Amino acid sequence: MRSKWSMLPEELRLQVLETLAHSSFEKHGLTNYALVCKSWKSIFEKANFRSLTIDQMDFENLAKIPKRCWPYVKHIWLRIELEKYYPMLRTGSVRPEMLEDTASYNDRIEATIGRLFHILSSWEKVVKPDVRGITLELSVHSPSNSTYIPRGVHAKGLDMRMPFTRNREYRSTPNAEVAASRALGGNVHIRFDNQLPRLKLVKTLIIPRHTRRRFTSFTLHQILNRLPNLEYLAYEPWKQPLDTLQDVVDAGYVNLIKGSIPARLKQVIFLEDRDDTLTKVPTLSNTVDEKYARKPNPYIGMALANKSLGFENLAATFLVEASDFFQAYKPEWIWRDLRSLTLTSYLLDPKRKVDEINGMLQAAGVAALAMPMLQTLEIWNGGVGHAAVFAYHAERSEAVISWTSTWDLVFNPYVVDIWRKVGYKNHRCEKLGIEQHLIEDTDAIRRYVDVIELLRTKKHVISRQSLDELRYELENDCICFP
Amino acid sequence: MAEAKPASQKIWLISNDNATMEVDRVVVERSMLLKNMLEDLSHTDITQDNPIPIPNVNEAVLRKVVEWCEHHRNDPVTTPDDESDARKKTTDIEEWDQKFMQVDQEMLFEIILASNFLDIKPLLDVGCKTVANMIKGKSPEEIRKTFNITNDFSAEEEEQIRRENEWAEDR
Repeated sequence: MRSKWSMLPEELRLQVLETLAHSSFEKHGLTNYALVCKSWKSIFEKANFRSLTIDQMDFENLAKIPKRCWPYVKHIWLRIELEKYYPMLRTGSVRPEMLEDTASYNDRIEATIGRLFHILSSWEKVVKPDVRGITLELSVHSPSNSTYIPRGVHAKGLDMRMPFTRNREYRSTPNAEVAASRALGGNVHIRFDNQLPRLKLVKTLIIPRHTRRRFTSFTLHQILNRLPNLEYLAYEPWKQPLDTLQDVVDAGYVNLIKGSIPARLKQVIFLEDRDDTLTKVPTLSNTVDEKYARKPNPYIGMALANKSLGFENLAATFLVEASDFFQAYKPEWIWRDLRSLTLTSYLLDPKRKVDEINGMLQAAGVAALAMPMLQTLEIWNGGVGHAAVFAYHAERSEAVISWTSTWDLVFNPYVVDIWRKVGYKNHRCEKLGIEQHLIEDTDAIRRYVDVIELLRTKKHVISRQSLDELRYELENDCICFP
Repeated sequence: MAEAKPASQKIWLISNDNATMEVDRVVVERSMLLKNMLEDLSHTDITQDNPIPIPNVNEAVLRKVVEWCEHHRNDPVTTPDDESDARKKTTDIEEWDQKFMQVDQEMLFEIILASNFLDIKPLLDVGCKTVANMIKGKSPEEIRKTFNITNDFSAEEEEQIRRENEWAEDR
C-alpha cells in the first residue's frame, strides 16, 4: 500500500511535525515522536531539548545530554530550590529566617549556579553561539513558601496554559507573615569563591519577579561579568522591604549600572516590583500602592541614561524616575540605536502641578531629539485606581503624542512644539497628531500591570513570563512563586 | 485605476478532472494565489467558458476546499505574526473545522496539498493540526502503522534515544 504520509512533500511533512512539536505545552510525547524514525528524531529532539527547567538535582542528567543535542538547548530555567522550613514543635510557628539560614541558602545558590556555568562552559567547544544564543533564567524559592503563604502557586512550566500547581493545603495564616518574610528572605549576596567560567553561549539573562529573594548588585555583577555575549537582560527585583537599607540598595544599583551592565546590551528591562501582596491576606484589594511608592534615587536614572546610549530597547519600571533620566542628558550624547524607551515617573500624578509634568515631558522631548531611531517613547505611572501614560509614537512619516489617563492633562505649547520637532527630525513627519484618552472606569486599574497592558511597548517592559504571571495573579487572586 | 469588485461577482474554477464550479469572488480570494491572479485580470477575463484552471486538484478535493472557503468567507485576515504565534501555541481546532476534517486520510492529505498549492494558509494550518492531532498520544509503533513509516532504528539505538530523551521530556 502506498504510504499516505509520503504523499506530502518534504516541506509539508516538516510543517506537520513542527506543528506537533511546538504545540506541546508540556513536552509529553516528544520522546515517542523522536523514536518513530531517523528523520523525525532531530525535529522532536530539537523541541524536547529546546527548553529545560532544572534544579540542582538535575545536573547529573544535564551533564549526560548527548553532544548532538547541545545546540538544541535554547532556554534553561535554573529553578534553585532551597530547603523546606517547618513550624517548631513547641510553638507550632515558623521560625523567622536567621543569618545562618541565609548564609546556608546562599552557599547552595552559589554552588548551583557555579555547577551550571561549568557544565555549559564544557559545551562551548562544540556549540557556537547562534543569533539568539541561550536564555538563562534564574529563580530561587523554597517549596515551603507556598505551603504557608495563602494563595501561593508555583509557576513551574513555561507556558501559562499549563495548570499551576495550586497548593490547597496551606496551613493556618498565623505563619503567613513569617513565611512571607522567609519568601522575601535574605538577599542573594554571593562572592563566587571559585570564579565562574565565561559563557559565550548565553545571550539572554532573566531574573524574574517570581523570585522574591533579591539578587544583590554585587552578585549580579559577578554573573554579568562572565557573560561576554549578553544582549538581553531582564532584572526584576522586589523592592527592598526595609526602608533603612534603601540607600545601600540604591548605591548598589548605581554601581551595577555604571560598572557591570555591559554597554553592548541591546535590550534591557529593569522592574522593581513593589506591590507587596505577600503579607496582605486575603485579597488583592490590599495591594500596597501609594505607601510603597518612593521617589527613586536620582543617581540611578542618571547612570542609566548614560549607560543606555548603545541600547536598542530600554524599559525601567519604578526603579528609575523618568525626570532624572532626562535631566541627565548632555548635548553631546546620542542614542544611535534606541528604538523604544519606557520609563515610569512619579510626577504623573493628578496631585502634581501641571507645569511640573509638562516640564518633564518637555525634557523628554529634548532628549528624544538625540534618539534618531526612536519609534516609541512611553512614560507612565499607575496603581490601584489610577493610570497615566504619555506616549510618543512615530511610524511611516506619522508622529503622534498621546495622553491616556484616569485624569485630564493639557499639554502646554512647549511640549507640543518639542515633540513636533522630534517627529520632524527623526522621521520627517510634517505634522504631529495629538490624542487624549480618558479612562473612566478607574476600577479597571487594579494593579500596575493593568497600566502595562495599555503600553505599546509592553513586551519590552517586563519579561513575558512575568507579564503572564501578573495577569494570572490578578485573575486568580493568587501569588506566583517559581 | 483598480476596477470595482462587486461582492456578488462570480468566478469560475475548473478542476483537473474538468469539473467547473461557480464561486463568489470573495470566497475564491481566501486563496492568496487566486486573489493575486484576479488582481492582475479584468473581471471579464474569467467566464463560465474561460474558468481558472486548478491543475493539481480534482473535483472532490476542490469542492471541499471551496466549502471551507465559503464557511470562512468573512474571517479576518491574519497577520504573519498572529499566524506564527497561533500556529506555534496550539493544536486546538474549532468545532466546524474539526467536523470538516473528518475525512479519510487520503482526502486529508489532498486538502493539505491543495491548500498549500492555492496558498490558503489558515486551511493548511487546520490540515497540519489535524494530522498533528492524529499523531498525539500514539506510541512510535502506532504512528509508524498509521502513516506506513519504516522503523530505521536498531533496537539498541531506540533504547539509547529513549533514555536520552525521557529525562528532557520531564524538564
